[in-house]
Amino acid sequence: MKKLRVVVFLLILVILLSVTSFIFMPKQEVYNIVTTKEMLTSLSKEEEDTIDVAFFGDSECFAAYSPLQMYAEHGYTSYICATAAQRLCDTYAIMDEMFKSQSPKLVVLEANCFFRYGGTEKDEDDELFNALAKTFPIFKYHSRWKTVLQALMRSKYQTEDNYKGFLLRTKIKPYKNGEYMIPTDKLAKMPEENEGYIDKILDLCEENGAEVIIVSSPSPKNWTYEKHNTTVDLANRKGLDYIDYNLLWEELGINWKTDTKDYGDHVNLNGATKLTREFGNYLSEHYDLPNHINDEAYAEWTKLSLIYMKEYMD
Amino acid sequence: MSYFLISYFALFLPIVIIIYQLVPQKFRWIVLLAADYVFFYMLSGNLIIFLIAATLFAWGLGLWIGKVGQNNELAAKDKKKKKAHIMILGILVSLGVLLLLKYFNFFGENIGALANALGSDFVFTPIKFMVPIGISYYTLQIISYLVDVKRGNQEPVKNLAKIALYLSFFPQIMEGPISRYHQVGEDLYAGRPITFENLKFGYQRICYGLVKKLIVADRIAPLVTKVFGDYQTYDGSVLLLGVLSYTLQLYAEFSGCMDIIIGSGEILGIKLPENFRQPFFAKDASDFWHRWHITLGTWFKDYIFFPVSLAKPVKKLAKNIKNHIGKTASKFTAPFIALFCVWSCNGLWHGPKWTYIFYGMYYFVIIFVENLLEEPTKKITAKLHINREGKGYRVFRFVKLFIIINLGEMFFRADTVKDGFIMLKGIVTNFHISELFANIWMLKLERADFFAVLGGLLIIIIVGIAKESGKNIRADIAGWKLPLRWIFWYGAIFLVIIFGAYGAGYTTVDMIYAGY
Repeated sequence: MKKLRVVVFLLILVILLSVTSFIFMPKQEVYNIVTTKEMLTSLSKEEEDTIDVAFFGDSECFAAYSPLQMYAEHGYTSYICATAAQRLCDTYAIMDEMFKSQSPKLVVLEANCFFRYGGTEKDEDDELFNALAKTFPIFKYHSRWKTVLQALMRSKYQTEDNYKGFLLRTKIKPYKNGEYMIPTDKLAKMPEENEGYIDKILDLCEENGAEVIIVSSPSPKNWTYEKHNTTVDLANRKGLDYIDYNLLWEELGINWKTDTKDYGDHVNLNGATKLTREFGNYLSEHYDLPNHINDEAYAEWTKLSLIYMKEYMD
Repeated sequence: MSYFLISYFALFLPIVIIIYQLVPQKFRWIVLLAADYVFFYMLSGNLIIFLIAATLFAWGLGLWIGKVGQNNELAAKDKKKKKAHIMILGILVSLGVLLLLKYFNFFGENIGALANALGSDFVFTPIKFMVPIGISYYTLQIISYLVDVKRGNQEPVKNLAKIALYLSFFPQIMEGPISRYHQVGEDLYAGRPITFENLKFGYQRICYGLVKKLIVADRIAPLVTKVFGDYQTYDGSVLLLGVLSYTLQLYAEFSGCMDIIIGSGEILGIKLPENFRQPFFAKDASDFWHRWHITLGTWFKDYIFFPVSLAKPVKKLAKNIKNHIGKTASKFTAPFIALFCVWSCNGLWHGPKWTYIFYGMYYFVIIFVENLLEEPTKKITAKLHINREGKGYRVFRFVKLFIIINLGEMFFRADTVKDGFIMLKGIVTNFHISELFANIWMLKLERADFFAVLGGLLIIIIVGIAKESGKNIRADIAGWKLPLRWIFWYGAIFLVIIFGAYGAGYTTVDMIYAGY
């Protein structure tokens, strides 16, 4: 009787493991279903074929570039499709969906997420664990409860205001540790799988006729010379344009006492304004981007950018 | 292999259980010993030779002590002396190996530094030793066995297999508990069948251990590493959070591993001694050490505190002090010396680091002062009509002890004693709660992680309160109706599976006490 009880207990356990595995396993290759879905929802509110430049990346991206400022200064439209701690698999998923309704001429990839594992979930070194996770994927995907919790609590990462994906923050928390880009020949290690994801993303852009540029936003907390070297190497191999503003922050006029919101992790509005101005100029000079300022079809953009400039740039 | 890995409790342990149960009772000890040695070999490879040599040594010396004076060839006094000599030989050799492997470089470096400070140009070259896992634990078990045999409290064990089992039992080899031969020795050899009850209760306890280790300790570990690693850049409020988190991590980690270890023993019918008894409910620092790492504390009490207190030179000194200084000073002489020895050893036992020695001295001072003030405090509280069992006094006592514990753990975890003092200064003189809110999301933990840790902590507190009030939770649950009981245990299993910090994306956090 007791032996039977053990068997029944284990049998039910196996059933429960299978059921929870089904629930937790991602149905498509998306790591953060919550932020990805939120991004696609806000993108869907944009009129079809109105975005000229699409930005992808993580918080380093959505804290740093303001599409409305770029529009006001240069007349081309852009959208920040970056999400918090974006993984490259999510970049691909968002981009793939975006190309169905938008035809940007240029895609900007912020490089910080190249150094984060780009897939949904890594395999462990422990072979036994991997075998178990293959049978019951709950062991591999169990941490996805965090995204469920995030959905329940509503993400605070994305602003409610329509700044076209830009997260406007005025808070100042200074960075005081001085120069962080110490020259070296060393390379930072990029997770092995990531180049495969980057190739997929580049193929997708090519299929949709979009050029690609890589950019690094200034961030003493996140960026190093090693990461710079690895990204230069990658950009050279792929034949892509790359600008690292971590080497140019002084030229940009970034003052780390006033231009960061969190001790050098991200720039705040002060920093973003300087960065947007510089990068906006660069894109305008190097890429064939249209000017919609006097285009009736873009009246809404013009209106929003005027309000934005009046509110934050005066 | 660590006890909290799935390869241990879902593969290694079940295989041992099945083979053990299938083999006839009289051969089960062979299964157990084989499991012990396979486990040890997986952890320490060829260093198993140290364990085997130590086993043969303890067994041989035990028999030798037993043989002294068997033929009445010696006078009682000489017999005692000879037994003592053999015991001392045993202690010196066992401790010598431990000291050489673990402490040689530490002492060498410090002697070198001292010599240099005195003008010598002596250069110490460190030697890289391979240290077998569990050496700090089985060495203490060997010493307790030899001392007990010498004292006549323990019959010398003739069967080598029994000593081998006692010194290598796989669940306890990495982190203890430090058991005595009379507690487990015979049971390990008996090969009693595994009962359904033992299997059930054992795995339930393992499950609770995993809640502590995987949901609380390992989830909060990155925050602790970050704060203690970059302590110079943080405000006092963040440092305080780091210190509190470390105390929680250490408790959840060590007591959680103990649950897994004792649960594993329980399945095999071996009742290992408890190592924790709700330490945060203690009355004072002394009581805390009767509830935290209990087996280490009782070991020091039995084999250091009492022998030192009762040693002739100490007694003589106390007598001299009584004659020259006074009765009160004399009363505290023996405890002072014995406590000093205990806490020096306690500090050093944790490893060759000044922070550990400081930690030992910290508790030496606190416990000695507590002893000194015990009587005066009683008198004062009685005079002021303060109820020592009242709520207010108990809260005061808890807060006082909580500060003592956390302060101690801060120095224990800090890289150097100086770092510990810098952190303390930061907490006291540079504390801004706003900085905590500004930094909290940059400490390697997401909002969801904090929720998981707090949930786990709540479970630990509820279970602790229930146990402190004398409840046997597992027995209570066993009294529930079957569907309810099963729902509870499935819930517990999935709590660990879903909310545990394991798998890719998490760095496996090694068992802290396995390093000691």
